[in-house]
Amino acid sequence: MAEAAQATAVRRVRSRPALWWVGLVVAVGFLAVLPWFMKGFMQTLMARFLIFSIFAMSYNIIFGYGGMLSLGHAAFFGIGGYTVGLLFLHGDITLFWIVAPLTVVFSLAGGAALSFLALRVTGLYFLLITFGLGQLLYSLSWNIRWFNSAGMQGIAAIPFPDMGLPGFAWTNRSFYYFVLVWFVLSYLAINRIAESPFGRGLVGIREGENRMKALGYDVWLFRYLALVVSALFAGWAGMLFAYNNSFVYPVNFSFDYSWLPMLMVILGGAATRIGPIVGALIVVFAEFYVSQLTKERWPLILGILFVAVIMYFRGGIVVALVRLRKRLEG
Amino acid sequence: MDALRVEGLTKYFGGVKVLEDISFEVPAGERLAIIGPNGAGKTTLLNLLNGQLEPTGGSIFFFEQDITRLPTHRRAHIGQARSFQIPSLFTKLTVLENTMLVMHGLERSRLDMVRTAGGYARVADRARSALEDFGLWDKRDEPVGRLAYGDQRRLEINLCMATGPKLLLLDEPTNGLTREEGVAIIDMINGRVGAEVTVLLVAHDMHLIFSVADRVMVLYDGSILACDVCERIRCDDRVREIYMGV
Repeated sequence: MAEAAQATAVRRVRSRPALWWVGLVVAVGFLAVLPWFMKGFMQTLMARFLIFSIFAMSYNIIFGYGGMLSLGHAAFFGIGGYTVGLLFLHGDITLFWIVAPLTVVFSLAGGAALSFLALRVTGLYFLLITFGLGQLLYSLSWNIRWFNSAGMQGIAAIPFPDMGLPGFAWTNRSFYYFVLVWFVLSYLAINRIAESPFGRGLVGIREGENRMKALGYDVWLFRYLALVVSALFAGWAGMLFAYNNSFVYPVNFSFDYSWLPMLMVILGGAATRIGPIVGALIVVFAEFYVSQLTKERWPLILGILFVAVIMYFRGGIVVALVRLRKRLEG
Repeated sequence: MDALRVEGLTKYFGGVKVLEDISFEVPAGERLAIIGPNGAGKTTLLNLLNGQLEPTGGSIFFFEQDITRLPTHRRAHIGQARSFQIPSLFTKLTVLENTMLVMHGLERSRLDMVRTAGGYARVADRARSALEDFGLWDKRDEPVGRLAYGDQRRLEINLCMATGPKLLLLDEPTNGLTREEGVAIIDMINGRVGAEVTVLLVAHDMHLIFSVADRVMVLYDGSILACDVCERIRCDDRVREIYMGV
């Protein structure tokens, strides 16, 4: 798996080519005009894709750049979602300017606490502990009545956030734009982190921690900070998910959700800028269309997709395309 | 002042004794070579000095500071630099990226997540001048894995020296090189390392060692067999017997 984490995105110390900015503007422009040609449910699906992109990009920090295979990333996603859900359920609080800061606080606190436990060990044991912590939160949220709406598992009928603007009413389209803004900001922030001295150090640690220690890097601290930062973005994605989905479920904490960003990152290309986004695009839309045809077969298709990528496109689709272009150019 | 003072250093792996009750001093600025047959405990000794391993017993002082339990990264910050027996440069990363990692390791800004442009540019400038100095600036965008083996070794050892350490720990710097390349590496160490820098050098090839070392320590079966100037080591009967098989 570590091999999948190619060093492709780690580039030279240089200012960005103008072409990169053009590409970004075109892509964002495309995403901005798209909802005008779509039905309401399609806008919600597009928002779902952008939310899972944020979730996958946050996982890319720890798995792609940091080389840490976590099976409990959904714990942070669930914390974000349940912050929204519980504030609504128990306090009827939907004001965004209260919910959003609390999401940040709980995501960071949850990230700090859970990562501290998980980083007592490394490697295979890290994988097992992260898995255990995610399942623990899943089990708690399933069994404790306080975490659930009356008579069901999960929290239902979560409304869009109250922005405190008089006369403002959400539509699917305006919420899509709301998500789009956070998606662009997250993309810029995460890539900034990846290219910062911290991000480079993280890649070095992935490639060889003993050498990095000898060079003066506090390996434990780098890993810990990477996990906490990634928890923040995952929690933020969870918050947006709760609004867009209007339901949160215990399963949001569980391995079922942890494995989605992992799959997206590996599918698209670990440690690449747009790999997680490509992965999210494929998984979210494949899920939608396959489920229309045959709902119960979706996990099977997902599994086949995963195996095919591991066997034939190790390093992900983005890396495979870059290689193809290089070959065509000679 | 002693750059290193080691007292009763002992290391067991489980029940296996690797180093037993080792004591020695290295005055600042000395070049000490450590030789000995395979399994004598040379690399283990370096790992203890640089903190990759914790000793079973004994203490290590670095310029009179007790560093016996100090983590490796902290030792880097107080002036230790080391190269590994197996080349440890990150082969997938480019020459420049590897250099930047070395330069950033001792900077506060290594934990910077948003890149303060000033500090970053300064480190980049240092990386550039270092690479120009090594004659590798033209190859800066090559992944290190694509460099010739000799160039990799040369880069690694140059990078060790580039951060201005007080103590250099070099584990078999000529390992896997041809005779000429080995001589070039030794010349480089002789030529580039300032007189105030202390060097500990592990090696197999005695002839190479004698051209750089002030003193030679012979490890045998986890103990110091002899530790003396080169001429006397060369004549020592016990050393000749166990090490050179004469």
